[in-house]
Amino acid sequence: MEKSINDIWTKGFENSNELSSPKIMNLYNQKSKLLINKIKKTSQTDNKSLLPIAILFAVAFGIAGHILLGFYGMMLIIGLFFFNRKLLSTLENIKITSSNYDYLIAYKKAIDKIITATFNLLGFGLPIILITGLWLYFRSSSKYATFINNYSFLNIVLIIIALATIISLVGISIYKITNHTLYRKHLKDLNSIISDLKNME
Amino acid sequence: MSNDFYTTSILPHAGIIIKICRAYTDSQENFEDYFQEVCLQIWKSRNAFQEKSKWSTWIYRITLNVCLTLTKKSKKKGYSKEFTSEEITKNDAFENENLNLLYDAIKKLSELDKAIILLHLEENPHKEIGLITGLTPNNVAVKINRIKKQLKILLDGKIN
Repeated sequence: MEKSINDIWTKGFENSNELSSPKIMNLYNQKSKLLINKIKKTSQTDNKSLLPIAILFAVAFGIAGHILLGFYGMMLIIGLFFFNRKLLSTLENIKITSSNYDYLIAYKKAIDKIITATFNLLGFGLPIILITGLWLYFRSSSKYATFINNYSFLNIVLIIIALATIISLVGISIYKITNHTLYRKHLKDLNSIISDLKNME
Repeated sequence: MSNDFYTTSILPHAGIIIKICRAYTDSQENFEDYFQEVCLQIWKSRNAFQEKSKWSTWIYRITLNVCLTLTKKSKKKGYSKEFTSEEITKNDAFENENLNLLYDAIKKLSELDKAIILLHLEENPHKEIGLITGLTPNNVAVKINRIKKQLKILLDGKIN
């Protein structure tokens, strides 16, 4: 039998038809599909996670006695949810036209646009929205009057700019950390597939 | 992956890649995935090849590593598929019945034993098999004897 195992093997492959290699085609189709599905799933989950955060925000501020501020924060977070959902819908609209490579390039560009849009929102929009919210909330309070009376106009402007910068930095940092944690591997894989496909062309 | 690289560096060794991938897969679809992944990894790691060993040894190594990694991954995911009778016929990729029986028996071996016997059947010397699998040549020889005995039991009465 020992001899025959080697014989079976050798004779089995005497017919060259046994070794016709599969064509290297559609190599990345499956990989791309899996990766795109992962990105979609992660982004949707990521966005949906804003909803419980919004509710928690409202509840926490409500308990602390700032119901209006809690409600305002909740509405802002819900607004962010819808903003993200609109951005993510652009990814759904990308159709495979000519090739897998073109599709992934279009997808990557759309992701880059989303990242830029979110950066702008957090960097510029968030400080404006938050400071406006704080002003609306505190403008009739004694704390606000004390603040206005104690500082010069220039100082108030500087404080607002400093506050806006801090809010902006915190927002962008949180976004960067979230992106790094959730999407770094996916984006790395996406770049790697695009690079491989480019080399194969 | 350029056509040149595929034609000159992979295609001459496609036989061994096919033989190994067949031993680690149960369907034509899986086989093609494994084969393509092996080709891709060979291409990706081409710059890491240092000519300390033969190119064919490098290919054996990559093929086995890819097959083991993919098998592990599919086991981890708990991926198991019930094949329809049509698929089973399709999976029966080789026309030679004895060869199919031998493959079935090899598939029942442990991952390491599978690699060793495949390398042995491809007439690699024990030293070469040791280099690829990380075993000593003596260890390889002992293992080959044991594996053949195991295969003998598995094939007993089935071979025409």
